[in-house]
Amino acid sequence: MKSFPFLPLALGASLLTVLPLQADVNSDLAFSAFSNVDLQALAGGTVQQSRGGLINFQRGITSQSLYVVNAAPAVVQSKLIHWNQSSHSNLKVWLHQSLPQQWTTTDFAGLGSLPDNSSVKALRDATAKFDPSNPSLQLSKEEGQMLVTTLAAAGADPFVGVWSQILSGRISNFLNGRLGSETYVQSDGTIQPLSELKNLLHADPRIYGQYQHLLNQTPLKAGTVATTRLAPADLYYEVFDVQGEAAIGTGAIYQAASPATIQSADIEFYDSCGIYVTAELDQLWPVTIDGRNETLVWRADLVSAPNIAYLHGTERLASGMVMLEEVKDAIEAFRSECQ
Amino acid sequence: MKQSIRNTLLIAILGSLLLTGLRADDSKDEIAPTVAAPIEESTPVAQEFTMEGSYTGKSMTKQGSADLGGVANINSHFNYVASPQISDGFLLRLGIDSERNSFSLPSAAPLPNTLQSVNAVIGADLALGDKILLRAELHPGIYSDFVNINGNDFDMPVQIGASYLWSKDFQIILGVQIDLKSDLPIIGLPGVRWQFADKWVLSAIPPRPQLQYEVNNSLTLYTGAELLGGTYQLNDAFGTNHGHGPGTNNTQLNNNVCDFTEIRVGAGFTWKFTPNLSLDVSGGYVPYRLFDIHSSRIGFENQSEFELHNNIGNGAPYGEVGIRGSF
Repeated sequence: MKSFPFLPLALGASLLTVLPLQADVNSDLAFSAFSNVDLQALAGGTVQQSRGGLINFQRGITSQSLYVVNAAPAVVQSKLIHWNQSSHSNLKVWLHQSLPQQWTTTDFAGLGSLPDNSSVKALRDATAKFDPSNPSLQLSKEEGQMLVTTLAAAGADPFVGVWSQILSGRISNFLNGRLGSETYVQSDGTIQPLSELKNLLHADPRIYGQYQHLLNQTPLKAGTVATTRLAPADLYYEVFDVQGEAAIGTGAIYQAASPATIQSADIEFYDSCGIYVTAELDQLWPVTIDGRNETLVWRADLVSAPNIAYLHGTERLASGMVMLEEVKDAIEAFRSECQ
Repeated sequence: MKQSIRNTLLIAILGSLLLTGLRADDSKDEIAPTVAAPIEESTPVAQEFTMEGSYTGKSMTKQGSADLGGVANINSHFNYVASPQISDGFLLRLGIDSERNSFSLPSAAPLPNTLQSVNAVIGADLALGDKILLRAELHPGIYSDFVNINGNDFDMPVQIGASYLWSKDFQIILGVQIDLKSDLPIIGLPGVRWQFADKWVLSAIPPRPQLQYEVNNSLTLYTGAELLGGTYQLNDAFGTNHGHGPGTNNTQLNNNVCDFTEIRVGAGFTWKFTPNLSLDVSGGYVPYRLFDIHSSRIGFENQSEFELHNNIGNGAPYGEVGIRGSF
């Protein structure tokens, strides 16, 4: 049989270009669910993923993903801030807009031009028919009362005005370290978004340890002096679909960079229905693969939602698998815009 | 980058739990300077139950081409399974299952009044990677007409199922049932679950293939079919006591096995009236019902069969109500 003596050499040469880096990468990823990372496969488009497994938080579900973007870390870092998912219809994000650092209620005008679909119609209906005794929206007692009063008095459609006020208040309280006073009044109890976020962030102590320094510079840490707080790299609000009904969310992205790596934490501290809070943590490392400067991205998705508490056993296992598929869709959309 | 995991992440594929009491106050007053690892102190245990009842009206039953008269069926079913999660991807399944078919019969029909099962459920769910879920269950118990119960009434069907997550909208399912007493000792059936539009799901999964339309998060309408059945031991005097009329008997049917099959087609709705409980109501038509009486297939000896059935088009209406829950 004729052999192909050059094939092993070619493979060996290819491996040589990543092997020195691979040792560092595995060391960098020691806090994560991934080991023995195959950078070559990731560079080829593979998204490596892991379900978060059992966590001690009934309403939480988590996942981790690892992938390579064919762009420099600075480009990926910027894209994390400026990416607008609404251009990818499969992600069902109807609106995503960044806010200026000194925002006013007029900066939420995008709510007046949402697409006319059944998902958004469900949100409009839920707003117009809001009943504080059986709330279908995640509002505080004061927000609910304001909505009812506005609906009773309004001559014109109060949708944009009401939600602009609600979002503005939520953002203001978050940035001023008052997230702990925010609540969602539900028919069967009260939810505190800050508590949800802390439970999610503490769910995996290794991940928490990795992000502790960055998170301690955000308003999530009680008592943080305003002058020592990190300024958000982005403030945003968005409208997206949750099980056929649109939800309005708002969040902030914090980033910290060192010569070796970049960390990013996207904290969505308010959602109007379907989801309580989310956190997306990303960490970027420069890697050289076959002579190209690329970026290795580790990502964790942490979600707290009412329905998750009702998932048990195999249902929860299956939901974790579905979550990986959805995160993968988002990663592929994101990556397609980076390279 | 914000995640877009909000759509099918929240597919509460089933199940729920009342939140009261779970809304924990946060004891972590700040993003603490020290890492406090949450400790999972107990094994999570999921629980699920089903209670169903249905009535099928009288349908003309035949032996060969001879009419034996109308046969109606009251079916009741109860199932409870607890699933302790041993590790992230491994859950045990331990429970009980009971089903009863109670027939109203014409006096001259060599048919059992009751076909019933009471059995344990012993099995496990296993995640293989991030795409495949496996379920294997043993169902040891009594499957018979519940007359003069003895060791012959014991059976242990085995069910093995696998589902492959092709995408969040499309899954492939393969199920196999092994029951050595049955006329068909090994049955394998494929299925798919395909969410082909926002509110539409084709759940072509035996024994209940359905086309579903989600009206809202609480209400789903469906149309489809249902395959009801099982393999049951008849008592050792069954043929002696069930002849074609006074003074006749069918002693060759003594100690035989009956494979019972009822095919239903209909429509219904599922109403999730609390996050963890749902009511299912359906109705339709039973076009075909079969009693296949034969000797035990264990040993695989050749025996003649004795079939009683209704002709298609000579069926009967049915109505069914069920409650399901998971905690």
